[in-house]
Amino acid sequence: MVSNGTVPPTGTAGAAAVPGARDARTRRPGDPLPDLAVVQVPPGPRRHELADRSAALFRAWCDGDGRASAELVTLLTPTLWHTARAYRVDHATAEDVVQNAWMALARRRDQLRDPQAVLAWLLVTVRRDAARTAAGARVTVADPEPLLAVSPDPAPGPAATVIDDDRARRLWTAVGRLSERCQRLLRVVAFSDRPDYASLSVDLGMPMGSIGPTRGRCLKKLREHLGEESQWTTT
Amino acid sequence: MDDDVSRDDQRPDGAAGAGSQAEDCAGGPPAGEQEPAATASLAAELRQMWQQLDPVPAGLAERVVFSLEVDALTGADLDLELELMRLQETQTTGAGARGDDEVRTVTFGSETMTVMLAISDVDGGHRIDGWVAPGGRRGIEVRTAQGASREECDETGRFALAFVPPGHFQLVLVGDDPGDAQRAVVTPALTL
Repeated sequence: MVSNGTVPPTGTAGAAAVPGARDARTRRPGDPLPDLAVVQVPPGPRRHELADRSAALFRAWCDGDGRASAELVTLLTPTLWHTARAYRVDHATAEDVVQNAWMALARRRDQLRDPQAVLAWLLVTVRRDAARTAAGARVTVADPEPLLAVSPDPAPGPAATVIDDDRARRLWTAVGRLSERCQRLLRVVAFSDRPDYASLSVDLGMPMGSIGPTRGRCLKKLREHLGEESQWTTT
Repeated sequence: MDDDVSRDDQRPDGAAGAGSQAEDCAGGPPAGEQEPAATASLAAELRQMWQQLDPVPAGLAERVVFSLEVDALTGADLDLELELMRLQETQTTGAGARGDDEVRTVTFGSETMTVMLAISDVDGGHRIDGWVAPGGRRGIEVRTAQGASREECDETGRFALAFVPPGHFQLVLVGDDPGDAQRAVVTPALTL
């Protein structure tokens, strides 16, 4: 059996396409779900840290440290995945986009003068490739169902805090009611690196100065949608 | 839907004009201390929601690492031009009730080439029958978890791999024409 995300089982989409979903589902019930109030992730500094760690690993890779490349891939692949998926390409396409970005980096790593830019370079490459592909043939409108909580490769950084499934799903649904542009903007920005705004403005087709305000309006809309759910309380 | 949000962007509000340097800091998510707590909290929740409900596929990072080893295979010859293929289609045919007669067809494509693979299960692994178009003899590097081997496809572009072990799998197609020698076509890595 081909059992990876690149080759999803025929005729199915969503949960079945990701191996491990079932295992995670059976694993989960026993786990206590931390309260949402524990989610306190100041995004700014952490993103800089990601760029710094990437730069250090990239330098080591260029100096011939084979393990550094694997570490770098493990560190950044989740971020690149979410960035590709922000363009609503299907799972297989998102995988290809991510794999190809890494291959392209590997081929050109002697040309990247500033190691500090490696994260930004990967993000731009993924965004443009995903956007190009999304404009082409192989695009799904959206995956019909969100996958159940799996987190096989938790994102790097401070301990990720789990939101309970119900709350996450309501958030997913509310996001799905936003315009496509808002959905993309919110997700891309959520997984972007701060110094990356210049290229972000090019890729998103909006002036740098309006990324923040637009994002603010998107979040406001989202809050309105959530507000329509009586049980939603912001933390 | 919510397109009013997009339309607002077209409004010349000066944010993109002379003040753009000053606006730079407000351009994206403000640094933690500038962002209202409620906004930061909702943004953090969103990020977490995507991580939980649309997580990076298991094994993707490992497949990337495996892919990058192509570098070693090609002698890290950065002059060798690599053309990367994309998955185009997967199909399953003749699936038996228990799935043991199943043949999976996977098609990869690039601008210049198409590779179709028919993957069937054999004891302890897989058999792969492949077809490369356009046809013509060319070398095929087969990369698996157990290392690389060199195969060749015939004039019609067909080749057969009688046994492929489970795990990562990737093909590198190398042109045999002298003019083609500096070029290789690579499939994404799969997990069989």
